[in-house]
Amino acid sequence: MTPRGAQLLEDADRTIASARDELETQGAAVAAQSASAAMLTLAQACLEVDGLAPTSPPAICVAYGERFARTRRLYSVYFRWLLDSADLGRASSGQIASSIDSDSAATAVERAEIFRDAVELFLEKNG
Amino acid sequence: MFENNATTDLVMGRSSVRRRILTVLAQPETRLHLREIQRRAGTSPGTASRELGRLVAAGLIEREAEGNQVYFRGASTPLATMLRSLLAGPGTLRSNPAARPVPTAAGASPRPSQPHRSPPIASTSASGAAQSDERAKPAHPGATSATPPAAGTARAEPPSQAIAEAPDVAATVPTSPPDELGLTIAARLAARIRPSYGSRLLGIFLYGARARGEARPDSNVDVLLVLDHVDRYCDELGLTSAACADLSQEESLVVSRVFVSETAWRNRADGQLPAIRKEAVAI
Repeated sequence: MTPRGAQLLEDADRTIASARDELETQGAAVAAQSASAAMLTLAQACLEVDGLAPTSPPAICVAYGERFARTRRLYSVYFRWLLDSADLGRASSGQIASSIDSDSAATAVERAEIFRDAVELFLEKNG
Repeated sequence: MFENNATTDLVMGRSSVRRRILTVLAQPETRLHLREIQRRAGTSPGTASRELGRLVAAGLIEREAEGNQVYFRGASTPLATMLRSLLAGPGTLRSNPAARPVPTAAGASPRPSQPHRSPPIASTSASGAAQSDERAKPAHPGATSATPPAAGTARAEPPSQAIAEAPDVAATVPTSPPDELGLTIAARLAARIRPSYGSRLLGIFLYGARARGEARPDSNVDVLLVLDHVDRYCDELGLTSAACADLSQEESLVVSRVFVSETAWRNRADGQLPAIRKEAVAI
């Protein structure tokens, strides 16, 4: 695992832990946004293996889709979760969609945790 | 009078789209771009482009380039004027075309106050099924065709007029036509998810940079879905997840969706919804 990959994984860990707390203390919208940020950080950690370092959420999603979902290097459902969490994060701003329910935020956090474990395994084998 | 006349054959032939295009451009002062003609004629961009090409070649329609935008208007020749008047019927040339019922995918009429853009009317009706397949065809080279809903699958009920007439919908005319790629991808997404939603799906709209015609090549394709209600947001994401992921991968773009309830779409006055209503393009 490269130092940057390890750093990204650590960042994602912290963000997921925050999201867990936020579910209880700050509400679904904040937790959903943290979960979304964690998913993007984990995708960045995967892309780091290929020497890619996109920074904008769309660029991260597209690059991850091309490198990991299309090629099945990681289970393709993670790509769906990445897009879902990004959309949930956007919806959580409340600018377009109405308020986000706590079930949806909790689901997003759980998915981030599962993805985090998969990425750690991947980085250990490939990073 | 018009027997054995190739131009007349072209107009009076079997293409109803061709006749509708001529009707849309019946007024000599009417000048529209391809997207608007396609919308008013209730056909796909590809079909509209093809028929316009034939009509231009026949001298019935004139093509005008202005910067990056191409406009079409009825030719001013006596023959073209006469043919258009014959097709449009008595009195049509003196009437306001924007005030006439013009076919749309939903069979509704554009508002008289919006001559350059039809109001977003969701084409989820069963009566629009035939056209929705046509509309879902690729509008740009390299795109793949949409997968039409399987026969017998549930379709949404005809969109309520209330959806089309939400406050501010298309109240401001965007300066650029919607992005073709965005429309195509949104149509493909719509074709994929309609069977899953059935009558719950009340409208599908393209919004954001691609609706405004301001997209960069890597801009998201932002799609807004109006549902009868939204309870668990993750359930709605789950219903559309595979379609969004597949399209995002195929097009190397992010296809993003947001769900709003019918009540919010019609009534909400804060946040970004009012602005989105103005730019939204119905799929």
